[in-house]
Amino acid sequence: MKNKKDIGLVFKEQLQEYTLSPDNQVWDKIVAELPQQKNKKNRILLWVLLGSSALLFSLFIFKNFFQQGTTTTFMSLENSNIPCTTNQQINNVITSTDTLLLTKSEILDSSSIQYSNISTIQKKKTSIQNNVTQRTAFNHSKNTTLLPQTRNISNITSIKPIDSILFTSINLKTIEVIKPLEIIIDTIPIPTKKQSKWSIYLQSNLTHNNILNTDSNLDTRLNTYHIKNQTSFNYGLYLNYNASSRIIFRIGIHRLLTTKTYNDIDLSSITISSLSNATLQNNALLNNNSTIDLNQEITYLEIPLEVKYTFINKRIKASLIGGFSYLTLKENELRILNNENLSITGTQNNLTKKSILFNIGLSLQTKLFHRFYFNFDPILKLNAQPTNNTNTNNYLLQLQSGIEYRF
Amino acid sequence: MNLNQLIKACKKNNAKAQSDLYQKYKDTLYVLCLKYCRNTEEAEDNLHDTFIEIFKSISKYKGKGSFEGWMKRIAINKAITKYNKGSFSNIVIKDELLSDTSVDAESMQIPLHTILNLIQQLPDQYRLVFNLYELDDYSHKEIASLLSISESTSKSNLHRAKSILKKKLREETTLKTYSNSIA
Repeated sequence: MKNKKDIGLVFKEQLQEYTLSPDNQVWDKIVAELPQQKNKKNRILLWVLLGSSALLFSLFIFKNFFQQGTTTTFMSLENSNIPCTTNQQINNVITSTDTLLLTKSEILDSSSIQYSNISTIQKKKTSIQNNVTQRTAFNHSKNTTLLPQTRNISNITSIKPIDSILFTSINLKTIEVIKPLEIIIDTIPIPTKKQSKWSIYLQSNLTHNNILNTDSNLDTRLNTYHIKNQTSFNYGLYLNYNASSRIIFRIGIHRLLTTKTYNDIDLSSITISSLSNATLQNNALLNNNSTIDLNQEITYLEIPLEVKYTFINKRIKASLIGGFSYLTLKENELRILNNENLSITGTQNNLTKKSILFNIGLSLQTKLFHRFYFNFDPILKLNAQPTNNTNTNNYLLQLQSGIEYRF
Repeated sequence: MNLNQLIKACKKNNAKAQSDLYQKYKDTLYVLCLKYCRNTEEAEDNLHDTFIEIFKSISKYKGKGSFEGWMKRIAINKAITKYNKGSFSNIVIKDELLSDTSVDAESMQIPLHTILNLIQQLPDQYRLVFNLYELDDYSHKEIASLLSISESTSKSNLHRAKSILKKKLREETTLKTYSNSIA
């Protein structure tokens, strides 16, 4: 008698011994996709690099502005009757001929005519004025010239900034008017700090979703479940217009990602396929005996338009923020994962594509250095119409911080 | 490195551990994928997706139950999701095929790769039901839930799958006998 077995059993027994290796390219492809898991690390590295670059760039800007904005050259003059400045180069500009010549290197090499900032220049002016008085008294008492090579000039027609006479000759016989050094010193232009009314503010923020109101606009039956992972990382850019010392208007462009997770939803009490505001793929793949996690990620493009009013204008500036944001829905993803890692994707089908946020907040600002300021802005945002069929409000709390650069 | 250490290292995205885990289980999971897919290419794609999912969600494995079983379920779910996306082909089966599905075990001289080919040639839904029920010990209730079909449909699909396999197996055996006789 022949040994009859069910074909399924025969196949199972025989296939248990079967082994076969996949092509090596499979692992290569897996490895190629694995770096996605390291995205977080890469992102941190990217932010560190961006931050370092921004710092280096700001130092470069700072150094450039610092040197260009405050470098001042003195005027040159010669007259034995007019006391000389402490600058040896100015003493040396007069030669035995009838021309006045000053080379650029002599000016640039002179440490005495370069000052690090406005206050230094002002101090130097005072110092020079004192020196002039002393030297005048000294010269008059000696009735001689301090420098043997200097010549008397009867008249000086005008005094020009040193830059205008670089590499040029001035015929001393044509000089008509004499101006005392004190007057000349008073005419030295003191660089004034000019800042544009515009500034740019690069910010990143932590957004906490669904505060004050934990009702689910996906399905009211989810209200009983605790929401997790409501905090997301976002970033954006503001363009500020400083209308006055206290009022600032700003417009921006931000990414706004809102996330939330419901853990361990018991399917015996909720039928996921009947979630009232979700469109799911392959919903029947869920085993009704299992529990599931539900993750939701919604991304908007946010264009905020806000006004800042400064009520404390000291070392740390404090301002009130008010305004609104225009939201455009960009991505809408719903992911359900059961305890066997079977995932189902879908969307929430009642989200409004375009909506308005009402923003109110506080801004704290302090100067870091030169034109760079550090801002910290906690802002509360209300979305009064996040969905088109529920009356659920959505409140967001954003903790923004970043660097502002004033042009 | 034992399995627990390997899992722990994989949870930390350790590249060496991921490679070791792949080497350890690639053959088992590949054969599983071959059974559930139509051909080698699809099986390799499924294996790829399975390992990506394993590395992505290994932190969710809490050590309850067999780790290999957990990985196999991911591979099976991947295959089901794949074939569930498309519509299943409706194959008309002649009634004469719906007969006894037992075979003579002693006369089974069919190579293993041929058995695999026969399974792969089954229509998608029949193949899934046959594999789930016969080879991976799922119940008809579980299959019905996974494939969004009724339990009676699952039973019917299984019977039809086995009938097709028996017929094809008979053809293969006859062909082999004929080849041997002329040789």
